[in-house]
Amino acid sequence: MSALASQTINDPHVQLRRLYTSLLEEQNRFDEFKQLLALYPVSDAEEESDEAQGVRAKLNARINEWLCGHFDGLSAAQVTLWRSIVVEERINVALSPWKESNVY
Amino acid sequence: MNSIDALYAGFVSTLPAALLPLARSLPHALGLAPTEQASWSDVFSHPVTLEAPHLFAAAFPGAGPERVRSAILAHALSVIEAFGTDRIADGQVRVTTELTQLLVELRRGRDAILEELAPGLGDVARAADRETNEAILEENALLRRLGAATFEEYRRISLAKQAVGFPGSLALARSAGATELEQELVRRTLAGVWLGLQFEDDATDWEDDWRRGGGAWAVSLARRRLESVSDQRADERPTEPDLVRRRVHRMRVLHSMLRGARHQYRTAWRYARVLGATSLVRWAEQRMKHLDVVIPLEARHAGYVVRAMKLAPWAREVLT
Repeated sequence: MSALASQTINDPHVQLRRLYTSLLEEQNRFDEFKQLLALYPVSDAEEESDEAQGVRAKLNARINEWLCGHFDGLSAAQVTLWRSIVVEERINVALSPWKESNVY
Repeated sequence: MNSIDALYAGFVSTLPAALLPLARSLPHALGLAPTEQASWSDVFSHPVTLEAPHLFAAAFPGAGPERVRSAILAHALSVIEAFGTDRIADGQVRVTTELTQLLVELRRGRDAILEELAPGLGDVARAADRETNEAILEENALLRRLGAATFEEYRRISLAKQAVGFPGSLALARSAGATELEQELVRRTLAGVWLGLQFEDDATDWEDDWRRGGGAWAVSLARRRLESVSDQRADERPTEPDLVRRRVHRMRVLHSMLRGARHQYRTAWRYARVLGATSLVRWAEQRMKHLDVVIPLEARHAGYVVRAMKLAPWAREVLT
């Protein structure tokens, strides 16, 4: 593997993009990803609980399989963000893209 | 202030004092925005939705800026009123005396503007209200009973639902002395615009529509397609979400809906080009370009368009 290819694979941004693409391309993966995120306990505590660590480890292991390795793993903060968007469907923009035309 | 917000604010200033608080927070009151402060320009991502006549302005330079503004306001009031009526009809919004009065004022304001722009258009707008309401009732009845639907039925009902989206732009055209042929070109352009948006939205949001319990076009279209390939009635009406999704994906209806949207945008583009409506030409080109990327992905990965919508907030946050 060239130095450039290795650098690209280790780039966290590239890794996240690969995860994003893999979720877009496969409904089963998307569903499993959502299920595992739903299992991740939400907490205000600064320390991630043992249970949360366990769920995150399982999630990261599955992502590693989907991406055939080369994935450093999602952090607790990243899992929380994904969870809020995919499971709770909380939209982190000022306004959501409301339906354009078919309400009337 | 965005032009549509300024125009709406001008209209609101003419209302009785008792209606002002509701009128000012109407996007929120109708469940279209999360805060009372949201304005109409915050609600929709496509300018054509509330400002369609503006996108025809280049085709009718004789109309002048004042009549363009009037036509935009008439169109926006028409669309806003239709949202309100629909939200009341399907129970999403509680009817109050103020809301009922405000909807009357929206219609009155719209009709007055249209009559001034082009005598007789007020009647056209009222007929359009009825056509839209009847189409919504027909759609609700069909989708709620999970009826099988052909694409022809889908197109017919969808177009009728969009009837309120025509009078404002037609009034602009007539006020500028447009010929019958030019007015027909406006109608065909708008039919492409509204159907394109409708098909695209219905494909992208079908799971949300389904979850709300009112049925979804993707499900009814899939049911009809299943009947045609199995040569028998699809009496089985799965309600379990995964089964429904699998059927929708297997029947490739989302792909067909997106292709339908692409075709409609192409139609809008073609007629807008003949008219010289340059803003609409550019808008339709952008929609086609977007779908040229999405359609092959939906063909290869069924449900892609829905998952992309669900992950869009994350992608905006993290990948851009």
